Amino acid sequence: MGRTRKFLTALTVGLLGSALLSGCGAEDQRNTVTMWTYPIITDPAADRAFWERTVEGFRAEHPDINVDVVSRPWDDRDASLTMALMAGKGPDLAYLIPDQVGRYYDQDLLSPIEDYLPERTLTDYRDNALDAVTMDGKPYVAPILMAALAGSCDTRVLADAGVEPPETWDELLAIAPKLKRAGYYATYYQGDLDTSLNMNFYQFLWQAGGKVFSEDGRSLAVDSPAGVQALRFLKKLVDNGYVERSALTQAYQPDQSPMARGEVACVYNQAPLDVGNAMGSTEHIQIAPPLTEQVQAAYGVVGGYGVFQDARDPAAVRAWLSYLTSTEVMSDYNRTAGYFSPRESVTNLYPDDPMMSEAEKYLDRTIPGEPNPRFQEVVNILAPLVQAVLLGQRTPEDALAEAASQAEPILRS
Amino acid sequence: MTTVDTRDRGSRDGDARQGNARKRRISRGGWIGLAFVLPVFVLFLAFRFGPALGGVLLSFANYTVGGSLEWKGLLNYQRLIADPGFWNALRVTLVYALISVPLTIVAATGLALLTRRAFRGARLYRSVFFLPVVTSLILAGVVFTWIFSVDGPWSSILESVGFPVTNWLESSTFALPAVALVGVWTRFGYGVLIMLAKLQEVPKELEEAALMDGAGPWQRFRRIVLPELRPAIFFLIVIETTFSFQAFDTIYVMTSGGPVDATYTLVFSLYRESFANFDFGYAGAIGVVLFVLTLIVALIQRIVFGKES
Repeated sequence: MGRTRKFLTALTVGLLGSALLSGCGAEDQRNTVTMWTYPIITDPAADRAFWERTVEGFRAEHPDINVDVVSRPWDDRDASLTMALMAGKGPDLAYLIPDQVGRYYDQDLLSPIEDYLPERTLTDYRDNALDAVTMDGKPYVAPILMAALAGSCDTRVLADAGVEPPETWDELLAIAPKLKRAGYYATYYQGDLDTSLNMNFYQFLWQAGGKVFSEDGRSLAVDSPAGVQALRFLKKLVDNGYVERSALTQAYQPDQSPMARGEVACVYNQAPLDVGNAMGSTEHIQIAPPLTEQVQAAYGVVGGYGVFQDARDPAAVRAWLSYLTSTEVMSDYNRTAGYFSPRESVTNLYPDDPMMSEAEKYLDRTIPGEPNPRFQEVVNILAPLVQAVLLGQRTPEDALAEAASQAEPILRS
Repeated sequence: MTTVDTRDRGSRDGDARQGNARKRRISRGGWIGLAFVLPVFVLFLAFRFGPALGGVLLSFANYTVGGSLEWKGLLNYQRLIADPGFWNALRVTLVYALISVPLTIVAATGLALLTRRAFRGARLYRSVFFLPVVTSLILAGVVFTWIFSVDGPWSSILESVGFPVTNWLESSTFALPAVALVGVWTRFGYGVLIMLAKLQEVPKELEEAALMDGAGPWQRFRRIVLPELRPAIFFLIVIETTFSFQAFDTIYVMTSGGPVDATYTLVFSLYRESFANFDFGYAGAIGVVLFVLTLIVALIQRIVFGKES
């Protein structure tokens, strides 16, 4: 009897203790903002230092709000984020890019950021940055960084082959044979199925004056003369050996890429710093303008933080996001990460770096993608067909017609 | 008579009492046994059966990340039947299994036969054969991507015997055999282990008698060893088929499902539909098809294995 009483007493104390602890937790959560971010600042020590000083700066202004910045790995980020959200253990806000915005919006997960940002910040964003995260007239991500994938040319290759950086498709095709004779590729095309079409086919489509989606987003506009023209141009690059063929199917490995071997003249699908990482240094990089056919256009990612509808303390999130997108923090963040600011008032971040200063000039020429709830499904249909064209298994006309036919029921659903 | 009756009755009563006591003991022992099994049973229900059942239910619905559930009946299955991508993924999965399962079993049997006898370094060989099973699949994928590249050893071997040098992973024809070969490499070590265990049961006298009667190595293998190995082979067929249906990691690293969907398996399709497209209901339907396929193979094995026993 005595033993039973002791057991029951211990059980009651345990349960009460748990209840009290969970009560304390609930109290804490009301003043805590949880944010998921990724290794955008690639140096872990610099990343940790940035978030420590940023949270410290915020807490100096808002001592009653705790901020929990959770650094997650890039791998399987959608899988881990959706699993956490489904389990009710998701963050209040997370780093998102335009490719993701449509899908998360379609799942009714995001809140419009108009509710979270001051008017002066919203009106200060570059149009292309805000358009890329806008669904049905409302932006759903607070952009914090931008990239411009202008041309990154290897000056050693250009000098050795005796050519100038091209500005148009015709100029690229004109210098390509000379580069090939000298043992170099004219450019680099990463065409494996894991690479976003933004970083390969779409930018050539945009340069040809085409679009991926129709105006209302309910049909595929890629099946067009511009789409065919873009694919024929790329096919010409592949068939003539002006790009490395194995990159059409193999995943990107920076240290094994032809850039690392100093074999490519100009790269248009990577940010200059990424090209520099593959080459071992940015010393020999010369920035060239984005290519032009009908339109001068380049891809450039816009990254920012989206607020989930289940945010536990919207007022605290509002305070944190306003601080995070302030001109001071945005300058610090982009300088540390090697990106550019999506705010028009935050410019000239790299006055002592001619390469970055030159790249910054092309921010307004970048297209950060075409947001659509079915973006990823269309990529899944289109990417293998584009690959089939470049491997010589389909014609451009046939592949694009097939893509439009497969995408139609998905886009209309 | 009376005495006898009484004794008999007494004896029967005694038996009955003993029987009841045994029943009580069995009953008590049974409860204790159940108590021991209970944690595993609860874990099985929570982490195996529950999610599997949830997956089946999901296949009849549309489910959003936000938690809203809308019943759709057989709509996801109708979509599946009309989806050429699904049929391609099913074909790729079956071809992958048809290549990898027989090769894995042949390799496992051959290597087990070679290392069954005690000789200097036999244990080392057996350990080395098992190494791929415990090697990271991602790492294996990266290494084999290089092996199959134009500059890799595979191309050199092909070139030395007069074949043209091509990157198999770039070819829609050869990419699937290439990833299936990697599947064989990652799995044959487990098969060797099973086969070696089974080979210990082959009666040595039978083999010696056959040898005395002039039977050659092939005849001894075919008439004596192979019949003894049959249960192990059927077991490996089921296990390896199940694994081959779930192939993902090396394919993800080596080809991302390409080129042009040449290595796009059902698990790849399931992953993409759920975590890229957020179409969890449709992914659930793919999962059910995968489950049914695996179940059919397991049932066939059970029927065949049952007859063998």
